[in-house]
Amino acid sequence: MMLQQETNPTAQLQSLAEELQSHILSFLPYRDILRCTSLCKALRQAYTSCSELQYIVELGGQHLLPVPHTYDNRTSIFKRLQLLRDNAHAWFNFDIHSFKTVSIPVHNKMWVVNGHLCLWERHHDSTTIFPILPKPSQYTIERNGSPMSLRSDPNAYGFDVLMDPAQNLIAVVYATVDDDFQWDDERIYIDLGALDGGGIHPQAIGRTLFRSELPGIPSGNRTSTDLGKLKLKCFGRHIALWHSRQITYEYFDERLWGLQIWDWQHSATSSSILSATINPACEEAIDFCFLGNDRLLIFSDEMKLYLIEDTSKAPQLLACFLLPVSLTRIQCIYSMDDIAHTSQPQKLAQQTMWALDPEHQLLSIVTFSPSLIFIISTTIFFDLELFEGILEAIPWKNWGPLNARVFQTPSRYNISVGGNRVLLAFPADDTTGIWHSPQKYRLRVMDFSPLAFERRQGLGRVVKEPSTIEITESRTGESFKLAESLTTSLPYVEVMLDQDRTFGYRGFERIWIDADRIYFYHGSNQLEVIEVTSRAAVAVKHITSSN
Amino acid sequence: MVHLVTSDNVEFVVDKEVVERSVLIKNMLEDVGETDQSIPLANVSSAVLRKVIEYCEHHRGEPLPSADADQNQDETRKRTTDISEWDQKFITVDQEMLFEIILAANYLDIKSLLDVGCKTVANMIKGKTPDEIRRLFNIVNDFTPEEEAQIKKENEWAEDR
Repeated sequence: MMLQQETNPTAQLQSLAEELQSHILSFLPYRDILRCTSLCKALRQAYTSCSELQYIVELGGQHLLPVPHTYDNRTSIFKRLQLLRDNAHAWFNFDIHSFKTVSIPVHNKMWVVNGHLCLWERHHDSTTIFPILPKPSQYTIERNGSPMSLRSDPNAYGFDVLMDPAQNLIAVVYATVDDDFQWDDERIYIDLGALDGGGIHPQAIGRTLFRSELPGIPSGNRTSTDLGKLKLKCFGRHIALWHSRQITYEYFDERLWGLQIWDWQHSATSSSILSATINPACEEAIDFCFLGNDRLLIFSDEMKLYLIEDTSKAPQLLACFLLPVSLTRIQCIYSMDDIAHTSQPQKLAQQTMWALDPEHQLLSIVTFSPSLIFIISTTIFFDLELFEGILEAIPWKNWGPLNARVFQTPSRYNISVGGNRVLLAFPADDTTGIWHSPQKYRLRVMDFSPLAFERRQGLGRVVKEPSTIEITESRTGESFKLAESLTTSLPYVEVMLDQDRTFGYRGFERIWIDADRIYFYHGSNQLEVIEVTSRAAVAVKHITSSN
Repeated sequence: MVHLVTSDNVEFVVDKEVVERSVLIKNMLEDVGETDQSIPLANVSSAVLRKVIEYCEHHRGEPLPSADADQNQDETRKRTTDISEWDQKFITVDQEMLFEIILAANYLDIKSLLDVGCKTVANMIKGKTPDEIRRLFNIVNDFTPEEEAQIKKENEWAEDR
């Protein structure tokens, strides 16, 4: 006999067992999880007693992604949550006078990436990479090498070197030179190697990447060509080489730039090529950066966003973002440390528990004349539905005011961008002339992550109101189409660093920030490291209280 | 063949391979060994068990998630509420049945079915306002106005942008 089935009284969302409610919520994005905590007491209880849900909200609020297949499975979710919160809080309360120094050998080019210091000395054909004050659990690479030995050709001249400790990759772009130190610019190659041991990189397609001929070079009537700077950049499975050359005709010059993108793990050749001429013929009028796994941005008078998924095809133009002012020089400042990507050999990531979400980062473009800093949320480059119908030319007013902050800068300053934080340093007084490096700097840390507003706990200044700058700068003799004023309103929290910092007589040349450190490069042989971690914050407190 | 008896006293005779997708039953069978005795499932009604067996039949032979893989899979899983086409069709049931299936999957320890159910509920919640969610699931707001204001304030940062 079939019994009439009774309604199970627990078969409702509100009355499910707490762990089932948590399990359901754990599939939601962080905003929806938070919304559910306001529905009823039972769901709120499920949230407050579940560190996993709080961890999802914390990651989301800091614009981070969990790293799958984390090496470190022993650290409990609760511990991770604590770590994340402490670290975010430390950025509101650190001491800019508490630092350690690292001495640096001679070099031509230096940069900081993923906690490693990278140096290149072109004339001695040497590269050096070592971890900067390594932390106990950190994955590190330490090596001195000579990148030219990567090459098969002893008469080679190196233009640029790239080192990516996260992927254990070194790449060098070089040309073969003759006895008069001339090279044929059709014979420029990129060689790849394993950063930690030399030799061929295990994931690379081979030792050398081959360039394709650049379209658009006139062959007949030019009188000379002059190769300019070459730039190598890499993100995940993509490597790009940017170069430009001056072409001198009888009556005028022009500059042609070319960019080629390879999938270095899958093919030594590629058809992913962009090129154009720039006018005025200035090689600093253009810059580029990778954006996540399959996007590329080219900055010039406008920002062009390309899809580069398939390197056997030309990049596909997705959208063009118009800038509000005409620019003569532009530089993109964008840190790719710890950004999540799908490329396999990611040794560093295996030791981290979270990575930056490429779709919710900051990138900064720095322009000269007018001298401006644009801080832009990368969300707009992924959320293209917002601009349906106007993708081929998105006016500034449609993307800029809500998704950017623009700052006018004094003549000398330094900027670094990492994740959702920006560090701006500029001279604290106007007494420094053009002949002296400023020594006293004022530092400004700005945090654009949504959780910063919550996490600041009364510290820092919340800036939600729009800000307007008047652009007065212009160059005589040339006509610039300048916007009269720019109003932007991307909200942020400004960390209060009320003391100025005095550096040595040389001031400093560059700064970098990452998740828990600030690095000042003194322009000599020293790198200064400020630890912004909860432990450091505690230690600093001890020192100051004992004084 | 395994004999199962539901809470409303209906007997089901199911292939061992099918029924062993339930970790609970698999462990029971391992403990007891071969037996003709029927297993009582006091918490599952015949209507729900019929659905559960339909699910297990369809996914027969697929590898079961191992306990070790759990933690790693956990994190990637969280990013997606994707449900396969067959599962989607299967789980298109009224709300009461949906929660019954979740309860049964939890009790019988069928992780993949539990996830399909929970993802379905999550998808119903996603993108809705608190009021819409309350209406959809008949949730009684049991907060005082003060508590409600407090929570609203705490969550403000996430709603800002």
